[in-house]
Amino acid sequence: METFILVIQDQKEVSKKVCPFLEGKKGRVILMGLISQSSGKVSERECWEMLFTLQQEYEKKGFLVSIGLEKSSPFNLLNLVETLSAHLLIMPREKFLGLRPDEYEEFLEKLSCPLFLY
Amino acid sequence: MPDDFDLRDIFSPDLIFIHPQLKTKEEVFEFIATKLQEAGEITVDQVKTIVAALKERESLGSTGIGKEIAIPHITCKGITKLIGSALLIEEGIDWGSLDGKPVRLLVFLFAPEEKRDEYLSTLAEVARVLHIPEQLKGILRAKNPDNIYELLTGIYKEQRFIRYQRFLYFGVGLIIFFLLAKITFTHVKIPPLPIYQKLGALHFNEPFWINREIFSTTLFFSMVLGTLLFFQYRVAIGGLALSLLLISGVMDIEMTVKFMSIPTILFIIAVMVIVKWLEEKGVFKFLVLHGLRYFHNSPWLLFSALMLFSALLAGLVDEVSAILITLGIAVEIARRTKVGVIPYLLSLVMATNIGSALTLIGNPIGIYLGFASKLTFLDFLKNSTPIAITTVLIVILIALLFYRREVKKSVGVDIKELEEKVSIPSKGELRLAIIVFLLFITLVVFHTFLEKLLQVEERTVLLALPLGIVGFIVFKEQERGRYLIEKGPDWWTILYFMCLFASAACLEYTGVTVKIAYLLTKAAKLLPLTLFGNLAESASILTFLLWGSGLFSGFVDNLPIVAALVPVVKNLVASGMPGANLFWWSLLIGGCFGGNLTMIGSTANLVAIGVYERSYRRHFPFKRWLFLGIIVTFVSLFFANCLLLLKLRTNP
Repeated sequence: METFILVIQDQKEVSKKVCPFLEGKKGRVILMGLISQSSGKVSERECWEMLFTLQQEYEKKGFLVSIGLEKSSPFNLLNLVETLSAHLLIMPREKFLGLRPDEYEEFLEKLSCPLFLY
Repeated sequence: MPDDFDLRDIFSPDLIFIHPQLKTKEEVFEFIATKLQEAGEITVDQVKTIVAALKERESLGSTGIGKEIAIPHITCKGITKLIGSALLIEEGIDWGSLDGKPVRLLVFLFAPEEKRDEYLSTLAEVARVLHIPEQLKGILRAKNPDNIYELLTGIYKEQRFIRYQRFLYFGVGLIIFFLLAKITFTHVKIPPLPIYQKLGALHFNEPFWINREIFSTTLFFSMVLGTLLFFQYRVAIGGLALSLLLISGVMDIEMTVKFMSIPTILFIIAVMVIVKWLEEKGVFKFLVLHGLRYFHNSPWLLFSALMLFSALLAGLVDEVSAILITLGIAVEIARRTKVGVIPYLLSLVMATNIGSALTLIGNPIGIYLGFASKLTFLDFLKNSTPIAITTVLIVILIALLFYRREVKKSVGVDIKELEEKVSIPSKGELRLAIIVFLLFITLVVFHTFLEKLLQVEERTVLLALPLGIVGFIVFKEQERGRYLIEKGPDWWTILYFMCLFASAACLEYTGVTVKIAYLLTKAAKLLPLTLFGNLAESASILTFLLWGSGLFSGFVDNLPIVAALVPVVKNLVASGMPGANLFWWSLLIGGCFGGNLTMIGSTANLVAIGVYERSYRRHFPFKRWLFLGIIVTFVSLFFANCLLLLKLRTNP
């Protein structure tokens, strides 16, 4: 069974760009919210709501879905990718571009699966 | 979406339970469904439907969201309103959560099918509330259902309380500081002795200056307390303190600029830029990995060498860069040998803190001392380096003894393989960066000699050299140079340092430090270390400064205490007390070694914990730090104390 880790940011973007890609595939989807430490309670609640909404959406499509939220940088995902032996990390472009230039290389070097930016 | 969200509409205390004996998911579902029925929320016929729906929900994917929490949620027919319920169990149940942790807290949400929107936003709010660490900690420790209910639903009250609690502590602290300062400075009078006349300190007994002493002391210690309570606002607190000193007329603009110790600040900025550039060129990783090649055959030697390199790097660069580099290598070693990384982390960070006392550039307190006391790099090499290096060796022995089992297991590390993993931009660039690094260190070591040769003021070369190197780097890197200047120095910290230095120097200007120095000598007369004959008082003050700055640094940033004590030591040196020159080293060593006491004792500790939590996605176990931290701090301070006292006796 394939495992996809999908970092969410904007529900419309996910539906428009990621859903067609995962169409017809079977497996496990880990929906991850990644927000900054300084995020307020409204944006945190919005992120959770998006996670629960997408969870229902993907479950209907036959995926096994888990959700999680981290107040940290994309580096925190590396261990999750490794622990779950993920097959693909799907991440919004903005999250990746939010890394410092010297961190891109380190991130890609440590990432143990392909990366799909949307 | 509303800013406030009241979960009291959904949860009721009657549907919150603590149950020590439930062991499986089925047991949990049956228990909760029965309780719903007993509370009249569902009918007897619905019990089985609810249990089946909950099981089906779990089969679609785990409702565990990590951190020992699961939020089983379903929509079903026959329910007319949103119902929330919570269950805390003693032993965790495997729930297939992302972080692999068993679940202890289950928060259930049952909703009618037509209330989908409300259901999702409630789910989101529950998840958000449970992700607040203090909130979750309280719920997991709750002894009765009412506590859980209050914490789950009384979030806003709780958060406000926590926020106000800090303000309350700050207010109480401020009053205590004011009263202590008032009592101390009103009663302590500098005696009309020739030494104090020579220092021009007798006017500090006048009421005008006493008021200033009370004001500046209260402000300085409130600033330190404020930084501790509201760390992320430290620049704001520093700025406020400085503006109060200016508006009250205690300091003028000229004095403020002078007290900010601009040469020290410029030196710190320049070193930060150089370190950033050297790091980018892979110099430190290359040097450490190259060095480790010679030790990889024995796990004992490899462990010891990594600790030693960490200390040396801290002394030659800075503690944060040192821990980042060596810990990165340690994480790789731990992963490959399947040994826990905590022994490496603790040993390395402790070696780093001690190593930061090796030279003038190892720690901001060393730089501050160097500029404030006019000590040279060679003075550091003569005095603090031997103490720090021997202490590092002792700490290596302690770590080896403490972690002998783990070290024994870490065999078969291929350093060459690790070296291949390190990406170095280009060999030519690396070579140039190593040359610049060696040149920088060599010239910094001999700055006094160069200053004499060039017939320039003391510390001119020490400041001009890194500034020159920064100029070279920016010129060479062109576009990238701007990035190095912007990202290399930690500007937030630099601004805080400026405010801190100015406020600390103000204590000297208002006569606070001369009175503290006088009190110290008085206390030393009451508690002399008689073993040292005519040096008894000096030995006593030396010991007090070492342990005082050491223990204080374990809980608060070491720079404020050192910055406040530097003028005190200056006064003691100026008073001609025998052996007073050694007090500088008490401050430096105490400030650096004391950082090992707790997890918050130094920046390197916080950085290391950050790396651990980021890499392993779990919290660092506080107890593991404290045990080794106490041993290492007390042994290292005791050992340093003995060496400093020996130095006092042999070479006062």
